Parts: sequence; C-alpha cells; structure tokens
Amino acid sequence: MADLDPADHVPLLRMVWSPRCYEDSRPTTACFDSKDVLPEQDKDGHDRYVSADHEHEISKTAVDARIFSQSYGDKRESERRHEARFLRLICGELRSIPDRDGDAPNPLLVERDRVLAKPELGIPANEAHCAIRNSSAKSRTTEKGANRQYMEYLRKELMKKLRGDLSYDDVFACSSGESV
Amino acid sequence: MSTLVLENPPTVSRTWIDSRPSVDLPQYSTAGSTSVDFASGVFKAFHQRVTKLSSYELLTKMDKDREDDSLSLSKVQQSVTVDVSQGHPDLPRAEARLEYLANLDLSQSFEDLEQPSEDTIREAGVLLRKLAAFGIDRHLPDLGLDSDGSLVFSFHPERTGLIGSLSVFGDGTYSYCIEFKGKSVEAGEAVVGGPIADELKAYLTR
Repeated sequence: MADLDPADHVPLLRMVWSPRCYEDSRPTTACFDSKDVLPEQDKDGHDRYVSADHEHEISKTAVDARIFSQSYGDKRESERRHEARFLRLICGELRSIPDRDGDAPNPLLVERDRVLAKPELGIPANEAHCAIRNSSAKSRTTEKGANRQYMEYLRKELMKKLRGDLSYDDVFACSSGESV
Repeated sequence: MSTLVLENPPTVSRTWIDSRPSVDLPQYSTAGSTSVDFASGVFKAFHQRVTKLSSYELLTKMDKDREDDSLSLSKVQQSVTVDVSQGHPDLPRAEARLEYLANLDLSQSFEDLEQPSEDTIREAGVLLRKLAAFGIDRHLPDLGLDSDGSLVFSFHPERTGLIGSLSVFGDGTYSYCIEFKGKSVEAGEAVVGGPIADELKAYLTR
C-alpha cells in the first residue's frame, strides 16, 4: 500500500554478508546481488528485489531469524552475527537515482513489504521489512550485454548512496527495535 | 603482508615479444633466478595456476592492444616491463583476495549461491593483472563474489579515485560502469583477452 511506504527521509538498513561481499572492512558492489538488482524471478514467479529494513523499526528477532536461516553449519552464533553487516541507505536518495537512458526517470521504488509470520518455517513477522524494486523495463531486456551494463550502472549508483556501514552490535546497541 | 623480492628482474624487449617464447614466463614465478616470498604456499600454488596461462595471454593481448588502438610500442613495453619486473604493489593483496574467494566455503551459506568456476577465477586473475599494468599508481579494486558465481571488482573512491563496479564472468567477458568526477564509462560486454577500451584505460591511468 502506497500510503505505508517509508518517507524519503527514512533510513534503511540492508543486511549483507562479509566476507563474501566485503574486503576487509570495505563493502563491495557485490552487496547488491545481480539477481536482485536486475531482477530475476524467484521460485514463485515474483520479481526479486533488494531487501532492507526500516532502521527505526528494525526487529532483532527478525534479523536473528534471517541470520540463522541464511547461515548454517557449525559456525558459532557470535561468528554468524559478526559476519552480518548493515548498510545504511536513505529512501529518498534511492528514489532519486536516475535511469541511465531516461527509460524510467527513477527506476528504484522503495516500498513497505511487511513479512507475515510463518511459524512452521521459523519465520517471525517483520513489520520493518522494505523492498527496493527495480521498475525499469530495461532490466527485462533480453540483450545480455545491455543487461550487464545496466546492472553495473545501478550497483555503482547504489554504492554512491551508502550512508553508513554498521555491525550487528552497532545496530542493536542503539536501535529502538525490540530486544530478544 | 607479502613481500615481493625479485632477483635479476627480467626485461622485455621488442625482439622478445616478437619471439613469443614457449617457455614459462618468469613473471613472479619461483623458476630460475627469480625468488618470491608469497604469503603462503597455497597462494603460491594458486598464483602459478592463474599466472602461467595468464602471463602469456597478458603479453599477447597487450601487444595486440598496441596494434589495435595505437598504443605506442614504448608504452606497451613500459607497461609490460612494469608488470613483469616490478609488479603492482597492490597486486599481491588483490590476488590473495581472489584466492580467498575461490576457496570460500559457501556450503554454510544460504540459498542458491554458486561457487565461482575455475574459468571465472582464471579470467579474473588475467584482468587483475591487466588493470595492474595500467593503474600502477592507484589501488586495485576490492573483490567480492556475486551469488551467480561472477567475480565483482569494486572501485572505492578513497582508494582508487574512481567509483564503480566491474563483473567478470566465466565465459571470458566482463562488464563495467566506472565513474570519474561525475563522468561514467560503461561497457555492456568486453572480452578479458581483448584490448581495454581507451576511455577506461584513460580513467585507470589518471
């Protein structure tokens, strides 16, 4: 619902993983996955998107569930939390990114995308969840080279909009979100 | 941090380029009189794997660059000489990172992450060395891994003076969009073994 979409001044936090997307303490453009940026369709036939959370409403419960669903194996809890990083992006700045050729004036939409609880899958509700969607028709071109060029353009633009890089402890030490 | 020690660094001459030796190049290798102190044995093995092929390709393609895009012979020789005999100071870091990503255990991660293929790693190594030859005064890009297994080179303004992204794919192609002072240079698809576009080359050498 459009009236629930976050306002332009709202900061978002995008959870990404080091060390795959980070070199030392530096985020790389791999933080914005090609399948989300262009985007591809998920297994249910829906367009993928760049996932983020409303910073002021971020839920520790939801983030913990995401961390433990996305990282498994024999890693300790502290190690998994340490590998999770959070990039700060401002809604209005994302919406203002121009399209490369003027196909759509501003291709990225930032929408509220609440996650409903699915207890059977261990997924808690997440009121803070937002979707950064690429609405440009250019992303659906079948010309492979053009797609790749467009992807790199958007990655570059997204990197220019980074306004912070936080650790798990940074986020939940100062967040007003609920604690576990 | 690894240190690079070269004894009797090789020089490259026009004759040498033309003769196209069939032996392994001495570039950073442990063969002959060239000794290298790498960070680890694993890195050394990786380096040999990547650069034995790529050294020759690099020289061949850079030589072709000269013919294709009017680079002067002296500039080619200068670049090759820098790459072969001195190396880029940031190249060991970048290649160690590439090795790390090549061996990153994705089995403890989620969803549909693809391990980078050997082809992707090899092509990324070739391109790294090519960028090193042109961007001798600046840091090389940071490296990340996309979920589709492509290698992502990320240009940070604080380290490189540029901002942008470049992806290397296992089919030997790469795409990029790099910005310098508000002006972008983009490529939908370029071939790792081919000449680097003049405009991109100009950005890398600014």
